[in-house]
Amino acid sequence: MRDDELELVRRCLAGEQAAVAALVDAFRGAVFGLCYRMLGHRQDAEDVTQESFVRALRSLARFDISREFKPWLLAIAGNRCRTLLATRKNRLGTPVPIEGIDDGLPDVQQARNLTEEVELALSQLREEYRQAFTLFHQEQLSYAEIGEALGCPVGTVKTWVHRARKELAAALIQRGVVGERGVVGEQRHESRGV
Amino acid sequence: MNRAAFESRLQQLLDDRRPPSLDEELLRAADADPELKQLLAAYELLTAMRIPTPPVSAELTERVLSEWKGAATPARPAFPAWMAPLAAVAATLVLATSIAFLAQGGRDEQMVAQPAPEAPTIAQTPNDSSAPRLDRLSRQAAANYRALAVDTEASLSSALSVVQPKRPASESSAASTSAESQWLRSVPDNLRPLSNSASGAVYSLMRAVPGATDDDQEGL
Repeated sequence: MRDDELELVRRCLAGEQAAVAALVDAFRGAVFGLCYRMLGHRQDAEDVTQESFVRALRSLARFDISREFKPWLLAIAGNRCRTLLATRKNRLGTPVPIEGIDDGLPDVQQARNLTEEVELALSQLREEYRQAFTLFHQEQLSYAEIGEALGCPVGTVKTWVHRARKELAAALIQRGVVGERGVVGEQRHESRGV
Repeated sequence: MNRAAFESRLQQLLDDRRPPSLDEELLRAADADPELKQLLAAYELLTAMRIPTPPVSAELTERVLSEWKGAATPARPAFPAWMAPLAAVAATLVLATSIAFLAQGGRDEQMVAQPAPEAPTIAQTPNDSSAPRLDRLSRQAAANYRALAVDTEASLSSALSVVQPKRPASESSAASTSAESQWLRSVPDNLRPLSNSASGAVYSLMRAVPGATDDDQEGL
């Protein structure tokens, strides 16, 4: 664990309110990012982020300071997300689609930009693949950190990320987002000489 | 380079967070094969694309602090830790007593259905006219009761309670003998199941036996 994190944890254990606020501020982005990527819903992600921090603070006395703090915190958040996802599955029967993405398949022309195309392709992936992929490429977590957060071995995470990339690439090519000369949008952009 | 090798190399580079477009080998293969070039572009797009995360609410830290403070200072006093073992012992005792009581209840019913055979047989044939014989019968009855008491204690099952009627101190010897004889006859009818411990029941039993001494009782 880094010295500054260790100091923060010790001050939190001493009940220092400012230290708790600093700890939350330092990791809220990572925790919220994980929750949002896993749940695909902003309000749920915020609720789970808050719950994860409170749980972590309550369990801080049992935290092994020889370990890294961030993966431990993300593992707590990942557990909470999985619990919520399981509840959703039981209640709804189907996972909630990522916010802002339609259930239908819009034409390439209707897609506002490439980001939407990638998001659309992502929403078609298996849940585990999507989570592993976004945590690796969007949240920049390591395979080990993702493994802790998702509660599975590093090898499994790696397999999921590889399959996600493969399926995403195939989807982008199939939808014509990427042509033989590269990204279609960029080709149009270049042809206009801008 | 075939497609599988090309894709494997791409995956490896992305695992190491290195841009595939800077890899000379991949670029050469992509230039030679339009399909591979398409694949390279797709991989680059999906890994370089930043999918925005919505901003976290500014109140999140405040909410966490508020909930954390609420958890740190409970509204009502917690159950004292030192009382936990006492509560556990008390609960265990209540449970054990209840189980013993229930088990004993079944045996008491058996005892009521089959009253002690020896005692009534002897008690029902006293000779009122002969004091020495009565005395012998009383001793025999006492011996039978002792045996019954030992069996009772050994099995730790139900016991019998017999209450001897009070005798006025002014009664004459003959009247006393007659009263004892009558009491002996009534013993079988007065036998009652007792749901106390075996030793308590034995104590009551020995107090009811005519001629029994304190030493005899203690011996049991």
